[in-house]
Amino acid sequence: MWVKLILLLLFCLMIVGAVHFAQPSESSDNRASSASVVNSLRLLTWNIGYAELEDDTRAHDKDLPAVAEVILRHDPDAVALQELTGKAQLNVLLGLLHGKYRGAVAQQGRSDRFEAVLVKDSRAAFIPVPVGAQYALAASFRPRGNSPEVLVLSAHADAFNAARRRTYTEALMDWVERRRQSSAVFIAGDFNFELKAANETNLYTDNLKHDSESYSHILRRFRDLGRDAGDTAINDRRIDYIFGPPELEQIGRVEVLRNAAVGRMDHWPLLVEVGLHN
Amino acid sequence: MSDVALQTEDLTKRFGRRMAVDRLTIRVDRGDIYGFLGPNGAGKSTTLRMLLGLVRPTSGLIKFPVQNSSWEYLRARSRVGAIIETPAFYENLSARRNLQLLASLSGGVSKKRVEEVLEIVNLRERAGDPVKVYSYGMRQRLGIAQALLPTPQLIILDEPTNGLDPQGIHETRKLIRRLRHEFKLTVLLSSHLLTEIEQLCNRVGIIHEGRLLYEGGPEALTASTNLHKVRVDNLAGAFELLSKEHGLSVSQNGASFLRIDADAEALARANALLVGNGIKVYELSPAQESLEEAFLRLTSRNELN
Amino acid sequence: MLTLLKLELEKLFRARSFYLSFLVLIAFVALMLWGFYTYAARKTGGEAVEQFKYTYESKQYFNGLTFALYSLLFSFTLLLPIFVSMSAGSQIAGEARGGTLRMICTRPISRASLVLSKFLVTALHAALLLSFFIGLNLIVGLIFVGWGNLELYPGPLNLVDAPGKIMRDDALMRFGYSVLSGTWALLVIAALALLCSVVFDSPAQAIVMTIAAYLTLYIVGRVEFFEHLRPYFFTTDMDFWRDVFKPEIPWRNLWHYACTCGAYTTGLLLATVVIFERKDIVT
Ligand SMILES: Nc1ncnc2c1ncn2[C@@H]1O[C@H](COP(=O)(O)OP(=O)(O)OP(=O)(O)O)[C@@H](O)[C@H]1O
Ligand SMILES: [Mg+2]
Repeated sequence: MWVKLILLLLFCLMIVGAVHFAQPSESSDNRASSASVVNSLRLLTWNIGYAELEDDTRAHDKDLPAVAEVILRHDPDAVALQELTGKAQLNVLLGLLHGKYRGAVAQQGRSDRFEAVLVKDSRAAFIPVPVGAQYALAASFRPRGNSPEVLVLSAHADAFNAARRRTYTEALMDWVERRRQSSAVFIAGDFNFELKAANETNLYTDNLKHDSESYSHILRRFRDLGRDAGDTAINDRRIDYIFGPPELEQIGRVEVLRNAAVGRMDHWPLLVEVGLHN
Repeated sequence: MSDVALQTEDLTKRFGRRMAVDRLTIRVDRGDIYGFLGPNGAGKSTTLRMLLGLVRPTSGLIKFPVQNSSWEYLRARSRVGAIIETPAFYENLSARRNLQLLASLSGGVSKKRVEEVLEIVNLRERAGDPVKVYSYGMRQRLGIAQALLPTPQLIILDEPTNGLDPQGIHETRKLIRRLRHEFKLTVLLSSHLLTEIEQLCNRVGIIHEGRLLYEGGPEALTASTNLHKVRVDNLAGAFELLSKEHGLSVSQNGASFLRIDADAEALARANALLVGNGIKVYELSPAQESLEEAFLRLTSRNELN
Repeated sequence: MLTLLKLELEKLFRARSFYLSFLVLIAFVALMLWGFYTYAARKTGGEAVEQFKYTYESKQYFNGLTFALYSLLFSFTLLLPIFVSMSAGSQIAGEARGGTLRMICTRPISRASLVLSKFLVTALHAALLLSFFIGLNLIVGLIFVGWGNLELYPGPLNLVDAPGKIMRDDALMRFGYSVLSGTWALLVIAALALLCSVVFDSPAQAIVMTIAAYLTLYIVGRVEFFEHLRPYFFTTDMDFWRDVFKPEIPWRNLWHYACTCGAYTTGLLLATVVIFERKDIVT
């Protein structure tokens, strides 16, 4: 009899314990946008290059009308593009956008492909960002007249070597560090981080280590805005990111535009809308 | 003097739809060797298992003399030794170690007692061997030894001679008698052999298809064995002749002989009659009653009473 | 109760299967080590074997502690649950099969304490197995792979989202904790196996049913279709034991799941006791 009593007692104790230590369920609306948000900022990043099986994996001119159409339809304040062939291609695109955007491509570095930033604001300034042997590109602008300065970077890290991605990220973060005081910095681009354990079959490779270090290095200063939007490239990969200031209020829209890719593009654009304090 | 050692009241066990034991009421007195007799499947083992708490009765009562609660039932049971079917032991351990383990579970059984019971069943010399090398007879004796461990007042044995050779049977029976006389034990044993019960028991309960048919002295089983078997040269003629005769009844079962139920007088008359009519009588002998016949006889008598 | 416990202990230590289970664990660790080396050699063209043997200062992230952690996590999904269900599943069904159960149950002992002592012995067996296994892995890891801090990366271990690190001494302590949390988790399996052992009269059946139930829930819990069912499987709750290897132990979470597992264990035990008390022993 006492055995059963003790067991029953323990059972009740365990149930009480389980209930007592249960995680308070996160109420979903405690992140409701606050009233102090005045301006919204819409950003889009897109690697418009092709999948590896093509001869030239850079962007193709024939796709530019489709790219322009996506940009016009979603009307972002700034656009970060990757894998352009150069200045000429950018000019074609700007033409297709009917002069609504200004833009620039990064300086020529070791690579044959270029990052670009497009901004609606006509007073935007474009700043080259040296990262090792390469260049990324930043644009600084004020989206709504009196709002604080915004800096948008377009970045593209090595596709094949995780160690190189890490040096790239570190250099980028060093450059960004000084600007964070004066402007709201957004880093957009294709980082090629492979963070999904399921995709990593090689137990002894350092890739996962390097990539997770790089990723968390960024997360120490920034917030991953596209975190819950899902994959941005084929083969279940989420490798395109928009990082923003951590104190940012996020408004509704975070979306991967899955129908946007044309031709043999292997990425989809990531669109993020955030609120900016005055 | 008749002091009750064990009693059941309307003890019933049902396995699903099968009635294994049906409203069984028996009484075992102190000092008895009580024979529990029944053919295969009668419900003997089930009853004994219920007495020992292995099987839960569907309904009914089991009473050891002092007992009001389940706790006292446990205590009462601690002075009951038992073998149910073939005794089983931990094969890798020695007989002695097995007994020691069982002793520790029986409550208040000393180390010395283990040696004593080994002595009683004559296994002292082989007690160090692992049980797996034991013969069937040795296991059976070890089974009795473990039943004796708690210095029981009542010992319950389920078919103790089952599977033994004649020598083993003889020794076991001797041992049971010795337990009764030397240690003043009450013994409840089950069997499907009439002769075994006759030889050993002073009280018998007969069970068939779960129901108690008879309970009483073993004399009843033998008292009226006026049954005789007659072997003659002309079976049909003899049958016709004897069926007309008063004071005896005759039946023809089996191809080679008749059965007559007759007392000594009638038997002599029948013999004379057959011989007088020219029928050769090769054999005239008391017939062994089969268990079924005993059942039939006892039930019909019970119905008369 | 105490004598029962002593008796069950003696039976445990006398059983050949007890020692066999440890031997199999040794074999498993040897296998892990072999796999580790051949894999390393294959991946690096034979150079890495030396590299893997490294010192405290080394920047290598794969060391003896990582080896032990991998080995532990892999074995926990299958090997240890199998051993525990074998140990617990044969407890009562095994004795029923051998006929010794009726010898014990005719003694004046309560069946509840019989169940409890059998459970405690199984729990002890599980704890011994686990501590032996962890100790062995650490020693093997130390000798053959090297020592260092436990570095955690997001990956097959599925422990962290961002890289983390547990300092060596702390990590050793964590392995100590994992003996406790791991045993506690395994007790759910032990209780389930004991229940099966009471319900079925054959030990093989009891063991197979336990392992089948465990594996089914474990695998189903990993299939995405059943994601919404996952929180209701005890296998999900059992996973809590790994939390001790997170850089910051989520204590609240840990206690929650530990209590849930405890509720499963005691609930199953209670059911076992109730069923066993009503059971007719006819073997
Ligand atoms: N576990 C069980 N489930 C169902 N029926 C059972 C069970 N155990 C016994 N029975 C049935 O109960 C009846 C009595 O069985 P029991 O073993 O008591 O007979 P017995 O008199 O001991 O026979 P035997 O001389 O063969 O040992 C039988 O008809 C048997 O089929
Ligand atoms: Mg029987």
